[in-house]
Amino acid sequence: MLQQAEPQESESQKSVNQTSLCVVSSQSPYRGQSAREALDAALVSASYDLPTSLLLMGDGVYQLVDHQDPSQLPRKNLLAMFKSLELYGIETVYVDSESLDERGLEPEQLLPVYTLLEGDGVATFLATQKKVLNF
Amino acid sequence: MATLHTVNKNGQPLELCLRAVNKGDSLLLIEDGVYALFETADILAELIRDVSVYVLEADVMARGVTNRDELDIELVDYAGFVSLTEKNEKVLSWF
Amino acid sequence: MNYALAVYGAMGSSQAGQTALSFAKAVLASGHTVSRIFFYQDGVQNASSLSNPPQDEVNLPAEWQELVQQNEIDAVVCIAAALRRGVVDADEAERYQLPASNLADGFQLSGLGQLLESLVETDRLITFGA
Repeated sequence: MLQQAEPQESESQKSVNQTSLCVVSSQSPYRGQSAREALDAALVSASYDLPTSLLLMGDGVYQLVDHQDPSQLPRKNLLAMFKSLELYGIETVYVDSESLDERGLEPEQLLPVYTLLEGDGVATFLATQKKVLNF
Repeated sequence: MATLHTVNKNGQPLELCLRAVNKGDSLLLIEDGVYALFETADILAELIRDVSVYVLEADVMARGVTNRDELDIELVDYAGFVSLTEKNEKVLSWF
Repeated sequence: MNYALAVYGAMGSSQAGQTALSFAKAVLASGHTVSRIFFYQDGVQNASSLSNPPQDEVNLPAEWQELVQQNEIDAVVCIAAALRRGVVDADEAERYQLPASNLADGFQLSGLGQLLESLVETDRLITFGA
């Protein structure tokens, strides 16, 4: 059984588990619940003390566009959750550079909390991940 | 560490999968993903140089996709799907 | 090998449930174990006991029920996703004072931790997206 980590767990304990896990999120933020539920899966993974990263690809890159205000929909602001991911133990948010290009987005238009994967970066990165969860 | 990728429709799922495959990986087209044989046959023809491409029999039959013989793409049933998941250490689903 | 399946699609808009069911049967026929099937996102509809399609169509929740009960598979429905979409068991119906419950026998509501546990502890987790 997986044991849920205590929130105040130290950094040294975090490196014990070597199972690297990546959640791939590829849907836009306000169409249905996919983006939110992918993020929830990543948060739960991190809460179990698994080294967890998040990879935004395709329409998933829209999740990180800055200045989102969904108050008139109304929906929760997903971007607010991205601002505190590090607090919850999600190590890195990766963004597929080609997905930005295809959508006419400049890296500066995103909340600056990510690492850009360029060229073959996505394929190389995913090959190193022991476990991948797609959304 | 070879990976099996499944794609269940054309458009974004196939595009993202193409960006994630490495040489030696396998790709299985399922559900509406088998329409790639009609819509993006040229891309598949190029892909099969580096990646083994398979299509799920039940979905090909259901959709009347008949041009598989023109491409070097193998038809698998559900037992074949299972055996692909045995041979590859990881399975990534694009949908 | 020990398999787990994740199902994210509902019957009305996705083939995921049917594909996953056929795949699960083939996994078992190949001599492997399916330890858990996790229903998440719109896939929670697969666990509704109130589905009643015409007789010439497959009743997917009933098929799942038969499969998981005969093979002692853990059929877990994500509780947060289920509550959002109107799939509840008797306990949740009482807790939130809902007029009815509809989680089919053989399924249980639980948290997302069960999905992560399967991902880490089984040999293969196969996701069937919407």
